[in-house]
Amino acid sequence: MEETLVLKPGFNTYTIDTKEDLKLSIVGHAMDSSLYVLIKSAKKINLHTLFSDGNYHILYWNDCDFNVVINEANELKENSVVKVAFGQLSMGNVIYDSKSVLECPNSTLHLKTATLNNNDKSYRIECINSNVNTHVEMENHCINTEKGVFALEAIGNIIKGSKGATNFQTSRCLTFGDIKKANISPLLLIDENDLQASHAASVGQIDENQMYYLQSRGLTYKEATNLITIGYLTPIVDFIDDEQLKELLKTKIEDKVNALCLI
Amino acid sequence: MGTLDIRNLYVEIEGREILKGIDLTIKDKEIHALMGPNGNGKSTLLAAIMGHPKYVVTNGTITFDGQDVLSMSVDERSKAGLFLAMQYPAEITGVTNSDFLRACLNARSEEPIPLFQFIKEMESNIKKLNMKKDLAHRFLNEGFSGGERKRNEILQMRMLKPSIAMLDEIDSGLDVDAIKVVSAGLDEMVKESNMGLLVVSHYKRFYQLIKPTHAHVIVDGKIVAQGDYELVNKIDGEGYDWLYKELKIKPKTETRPIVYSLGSCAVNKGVK
Ligand SMILES: Nc1ncnc2c1ncn2[C@@H]1O[C@H](COP(=O)(O)OP(=O)(O)OP(=O)(O)O)[C@@H](O)[C@H]1O
Ligand SMILES: [Mg+2]
Repeated sequence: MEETLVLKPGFNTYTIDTKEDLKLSIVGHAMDSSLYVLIKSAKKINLHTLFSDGNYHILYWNDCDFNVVINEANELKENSVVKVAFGQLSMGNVIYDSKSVLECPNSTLHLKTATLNNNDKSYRIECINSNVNTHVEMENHCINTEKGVFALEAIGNIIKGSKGATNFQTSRCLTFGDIKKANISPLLLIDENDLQASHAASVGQIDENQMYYLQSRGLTYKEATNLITIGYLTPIVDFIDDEQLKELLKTKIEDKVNALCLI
Repeated sequence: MGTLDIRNLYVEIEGREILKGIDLTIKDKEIHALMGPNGNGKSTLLAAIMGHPKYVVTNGTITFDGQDVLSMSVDERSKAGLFLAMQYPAEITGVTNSDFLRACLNARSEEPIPLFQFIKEMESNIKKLNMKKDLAHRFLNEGFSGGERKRNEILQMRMLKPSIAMLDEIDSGLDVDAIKVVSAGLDEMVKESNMGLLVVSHYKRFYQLIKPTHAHVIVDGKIVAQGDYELVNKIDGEGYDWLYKELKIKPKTETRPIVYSLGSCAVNKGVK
């Protein structure tokens, strides 16, 4: 199945609910637009986006508990400011392969993922600065439960000639089980001198001082754990400017965390 | 009534004995000043009372209104009416100050507090403490200035209304006006709700405002002098040397660097 979604100014929504393979193209030109894509059911999704001259916010929310493969290709043309977020609390195994290319001068990409993983999740996310004044910020947050296996390859790639480029990434995984079951590999490939780039990655258990602080205010061990966990994931909802939707997603996160019994 | 009773308390951190037999009783409405040179066990005493897992009580008892505090979990101690404003409060990303406060209030009552009442109460306290309004919606202590963090500790105290509050260097980092606001607020809580206070500070300026009824000096894990406001005055004027001479004791001098948070590349450690 192949579909094309041409964005309109303002708030757009799109639901994926199919058992077939889906190829979805999303196009935005000369506007400010935000898009919420709800994945209700899917097997394999190929996403291809093309943005130019404008501000675009996209939040993909994987709401299905099936095994899914998602391939994403983002193309940023001139003067585009793009925020892409991918959130999931899915109980399925997911492979997410995302590649973004900032092809033209003056574009900005902020890419963010938030994952609550109780299964097998494998991400490869690459952001390529291939022209002057291109800016990338990547942030990944994952909660890995005792059962979860999480692997993330986070790659910043700055091509020769991309003067004034920036590429920053942070990836953090909070684990409740064996720390070895979560793996983050940050990588920066740099072939230019005039740039700024950094990467930071951490995998670890919940911070003892944070727990103590919350408990000292009367929260039980479980309540404190859940609050920290929820706090880890919810900032993703700020990628979309729709209050109702924000509340809905926040509630989904809270319900899932409370239902999971992390400890 | 709220009486906190500490008897012959010994506390270790990572196998090192820090407190060596502390006796201290705090009743409601009493204001206790706890002084002593750096690194001699003041914060350790407060952390042990609150139940920090790193601070291991090896001997002695702590009771609060007859209940055995040492057998309670940290949250039970809080719910029983103990509060500790920490010297270095933790930062928690993603959890807003107001969500946090509401969760704390709900944790200690059967019925959840109505949203409207909560907001009203929080906003009136924020105003009283001259805090910026947006601090309610910011992530807990994240990016807060030193003074904002301290005010935020007091905001929590005011909302949780403890019977005994322990304040660890709450005045350091507060500007002159904030110290006045905070002390006026403390005075109000002592008078109106009979709160008892255990206050650690190095500075007379703060003690002058809160007027302690009792004063204690900890040196090398022991209370070596007790008195009233006069003792605070004397230490402020003369330091601790006279005490060392009089009692033939030596303070502990080694200090430990304070780690606020982990660097961003802290693999396999705590994650913020
Ligand atoms: N979490 C900890 N881990 C290791 N050592 C600690 C810890 N907390 C305190 N200590 C040690 O215990 C001793 C007492 O420290 P404490 O923080 O109680 O001092 P203090 O009297 O509050 O000093 P200050 O006036 O500087 O705040 C010090 O030697 C300190 O290094
Ligand atoms: Mg201290």
